Amino acid sequence: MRIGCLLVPDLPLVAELRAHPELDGLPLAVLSEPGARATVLAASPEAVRAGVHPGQSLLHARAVCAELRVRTASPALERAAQRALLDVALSASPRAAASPSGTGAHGGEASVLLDAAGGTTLFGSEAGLAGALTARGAAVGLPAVASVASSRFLARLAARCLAIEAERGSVRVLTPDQEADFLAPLPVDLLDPDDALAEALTRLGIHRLGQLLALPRRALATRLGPGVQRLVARLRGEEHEPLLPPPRDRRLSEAIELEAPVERLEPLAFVLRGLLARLLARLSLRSLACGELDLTLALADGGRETRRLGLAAPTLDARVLLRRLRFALESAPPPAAVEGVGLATEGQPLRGDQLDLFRPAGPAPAELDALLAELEALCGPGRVGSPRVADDLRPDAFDMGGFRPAAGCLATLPSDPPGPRLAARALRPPVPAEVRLRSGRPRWLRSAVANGEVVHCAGPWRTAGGWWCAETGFDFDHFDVQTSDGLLVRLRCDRRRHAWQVDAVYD
Amino acid sequence: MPARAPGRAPGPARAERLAALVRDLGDRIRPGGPREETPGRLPTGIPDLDRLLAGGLPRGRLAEITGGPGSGRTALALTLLSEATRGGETVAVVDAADAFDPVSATAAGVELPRVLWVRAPGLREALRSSERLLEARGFALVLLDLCGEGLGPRARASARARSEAQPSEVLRPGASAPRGSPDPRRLASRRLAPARSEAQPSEAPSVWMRLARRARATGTVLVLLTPVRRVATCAAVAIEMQAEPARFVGPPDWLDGLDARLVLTRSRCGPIGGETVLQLRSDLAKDAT
Repeated sequence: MRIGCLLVPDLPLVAELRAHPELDGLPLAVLSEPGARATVLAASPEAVRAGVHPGQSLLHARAVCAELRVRTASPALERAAQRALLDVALSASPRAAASPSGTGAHGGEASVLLDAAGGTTLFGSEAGLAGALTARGAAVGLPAVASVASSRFLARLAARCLAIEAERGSVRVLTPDQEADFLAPLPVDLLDPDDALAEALTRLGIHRLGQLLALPRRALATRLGPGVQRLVARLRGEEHEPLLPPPRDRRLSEAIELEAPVERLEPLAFVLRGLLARLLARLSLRSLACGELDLTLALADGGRETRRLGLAAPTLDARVLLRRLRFALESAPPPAAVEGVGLATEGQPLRGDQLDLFRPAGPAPAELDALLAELEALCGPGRVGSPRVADDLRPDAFDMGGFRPAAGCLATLPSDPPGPRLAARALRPPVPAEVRLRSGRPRWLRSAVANGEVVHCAGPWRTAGGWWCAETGFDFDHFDVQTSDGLLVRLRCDRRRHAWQVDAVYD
Repeated sequence: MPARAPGRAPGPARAERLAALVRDLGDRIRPGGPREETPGRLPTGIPDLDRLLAGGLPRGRLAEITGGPGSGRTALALTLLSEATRGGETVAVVDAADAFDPVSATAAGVELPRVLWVRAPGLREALRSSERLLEARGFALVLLDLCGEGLGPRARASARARSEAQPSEVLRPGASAPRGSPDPRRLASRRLAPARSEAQPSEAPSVWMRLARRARATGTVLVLLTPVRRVATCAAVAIEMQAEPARFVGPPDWLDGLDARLVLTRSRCGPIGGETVLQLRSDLAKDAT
């Protein structure tokens, strides 16, 4: 079995830089909590060069580096970064899982393990697989190191060593015969032993892993307990853990907590743009598109608002999605200032189409999806689609469905063209009218559409339905009416409400 | 600079040879000039109109249909959609008036699954949607229906209300703008600026030029349905619809249909001034017969 490991050494720092790329290259420290009593959790290389180190107090850090920028650690950003790391692993292997977070000196690291079997077929070699992992990690804002070894423990240990001694983006591949030579000079501290074991090993003069592996296992277990035996077994690659499982959760989410509440749309749109960019980068890793978006707003009054925004078709166009989000926020602003924003989506595959020899080529499916999503973002939800005759007797009923032009077929076309027909232009909503009657028929009409004496009148035709419900029931008498101003309209009398309306113009 | 010497006039023998050559070549001699690219045609489904247009609407061009309410302009538009969709083409309707009636379209023979219906809430969205549809390849015809404001004061009032709508730039009604940020009202007036052109159509000739250029690039026919001419010289074809009195028959009275006079007022592909009459029958009359 071959296992790959993708490791990010300073997750709090990387998560902040992923959300705020403008801070890259500046002396930056991530703090444990807001306020002056905070301590430094992680520091950028520029800050480290200026003398800032993890564990320092904020006051101390500011004293050694006056230009220091500080951010408070955000659990939401770190969670999103960890999931993005898993997405990177899943883009190269169907089986991947996040490994437990490190402790002690390695508490800030995050890593994922993946099944590297068969990776050489796709990437040419195991080094190619590891290189692809680091490149994809960098593309989603996660500078990482990668390694491939025979077991999870060794792969993670190799990645951990690499993170200490080499730059981000480096890779290491350990073949089975190289593993003993690799382990021998490494310090025991890399195993992150608990305090009692570390003290016992120091007392025995064991500082290197090679020394530990040279000792007889049974005697070691007798003197230092079963814990060290498990450790040695892992060093030798003797693992009895189940295979890495395929992921069950297909949901992708990105979130951010804002430093100050936002009350206006423009700054919120700026935040949403960054969130969308990160979410779409992860979706593209999975070769999926966004077909539905869940927007979560944490409000300053303690409330929480969640909205589900549908799209006409899956898309990866950030511009379209941002316009859809803006439209939703403009049409229904949140009741209070926004303190935190989250976006989540379940990826959907992009559509494909089979070309037809006997039909003119329509729009390409992928471009059509992007177009539909953009048009819906522009015009509003439910305003873009394919018209349908509604399965409803109500005169003003209409229906819209998804636009799938490929679903039609020439064989379904009628053979005889109907020719030009009198068409109705619907008035939505119908226009109220004032009508004078003679013998129960309209003889004079006044409305915002047509006015004057009724020159010709045909009807009535009665349309009624929904009698079992007072709210949705309808009962209309329809007349086709031509007025003295030359207009030909469809007039209706609402017999339930005793009101007249013009609901269409013949044109 | 010395004056150019006048050319010698051809002698009688030479002039005679030249005349004989012209006589021999006959119709094969044509005036020179840049070669005109002949666009393909999209049949309209009305034989008389196809004859006037030398085969149909030119692909990749803008066509304008004007007429008042009841003039038969919508019936003509639905006939165009019907002919295109029956030929397997994909079409789009940008409906700024929200007046498209699927029942009438089905009766006219339109294949609804091949129609993309965009119910644009305003002129700005309608123009932007049309532009995007023209940029996307694969649509044979894009129908832009701007007849909403011609129906009456109600629609005009709603258009005015849209153009005067307050912005939603501020998320919360009580929220105050930070210092230095632009005035939301000014932002709104900038954002909603194209809506003003609904009241003043003369402001937007560049829009039509841009749309015509987009249509030419992708070969899509853009048909503009409007109560008054607003495109000017950007249109390759302009058709004016004129209403005739409706026909009622009976007793009992029913609407038999109406005749619509169609006049070709502009055409870059043939003579102008041709006209024909469309006999539009109502569904009820068809059922009765």
